Amino acid sequence: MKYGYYPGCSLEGISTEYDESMRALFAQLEVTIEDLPDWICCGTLAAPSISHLLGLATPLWNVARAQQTGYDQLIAPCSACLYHFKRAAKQVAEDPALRAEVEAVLELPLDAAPPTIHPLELLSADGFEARIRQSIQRDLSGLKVVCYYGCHISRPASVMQFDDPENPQSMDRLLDWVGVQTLDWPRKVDCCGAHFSMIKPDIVIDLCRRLFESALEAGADAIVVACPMCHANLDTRQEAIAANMGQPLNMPVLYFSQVLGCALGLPDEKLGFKRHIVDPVPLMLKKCNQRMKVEV
Amino acid sequence: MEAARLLALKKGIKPSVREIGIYYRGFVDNMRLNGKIHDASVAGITQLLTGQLIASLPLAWKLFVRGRVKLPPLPLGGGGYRRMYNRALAREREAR
Repeated sequence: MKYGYYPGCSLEGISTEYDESMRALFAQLEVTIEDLPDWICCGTLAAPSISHLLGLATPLWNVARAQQTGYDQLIAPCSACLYHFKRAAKQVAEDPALRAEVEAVLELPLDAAPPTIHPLELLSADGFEARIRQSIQRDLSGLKVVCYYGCHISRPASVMQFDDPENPQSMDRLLDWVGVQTLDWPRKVDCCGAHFSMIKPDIVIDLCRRLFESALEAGADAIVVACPMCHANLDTRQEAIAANMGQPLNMPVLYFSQVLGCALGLPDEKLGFKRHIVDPVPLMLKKCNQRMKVEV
Repeated sequence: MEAARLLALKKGIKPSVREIGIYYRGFVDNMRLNGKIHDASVAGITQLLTGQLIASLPLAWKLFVRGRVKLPPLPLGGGGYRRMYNRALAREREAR
């Protein structure tokens, strides 16, 4: 299987640690990935707000290049990018005239476009279970987390076609394989406020407050995420959220790739813990089995 | 949502929340420069134009020292995107 890798803009900026830990995890699991050449931004909600055709052509620029390069699958760790790839691919697949329009704009064909998938979809498949279980180097069985999927990994179901849209399980399953305690909670697919962080931060603070209250009520040590926007909002806004809650808050927010990487023995510098606003190292040191400490 | 957005585009309805229009415009302008988004530039311009820049500087500094805010790239990567952007908008104008 030939995997193309589309990091997306966030993983080159505010979510550098997601990119670092994802690449290190793939290397550890011997999954060979290749960066998509000449990739551009997916356009997110901004390109469709200018023009419908531009909103389709922008994500499909990358898919057309993935087809040209001959990838079997394109991996997109950002769930917002993933949604826009899948949304655009579905629309042109269902409407041949629209596909012809988009191909004319791209000046590239889209007749054999490879599917785009989230790394959760790849790694939670049964084929990886034995490989992951056999690679465990550190005991994280003392770590209690809630898995936060956010809006787009599994929804809308007709577009994403992955996992249970209202009660997704793929991240819980992956973390269960490495012994982490995943707790039930009711806000797995709630919204974090996404890019409203830049426009109306009060809305984001209110939405994230509900997530932290629910995570604390469940008894979680940390929230584990698979989306750079969710991570940015939960990690960088904690001071303001704590003020809004009227109580101190110091809950690490980790990417699933960091937790898995830690369990598989990857060193801190490959997992990017030092980049977090809320430092997760004290928690990881406390929860790791003493004989298998996180190297910091 | 998609249908509502398409109808709004067709009728030329602008976002009623001013900040949303500023953010989307800044985002697409940044894409036209680089092809990719430099997230700190988009955030900085949006916050400057919406009067939130000063309040966001302490967080920006914390992110910078942790390597999560990069310096802006030279605006060299957007040529292909700009051509595609022009083609898409020209086709939509023709279709009207």
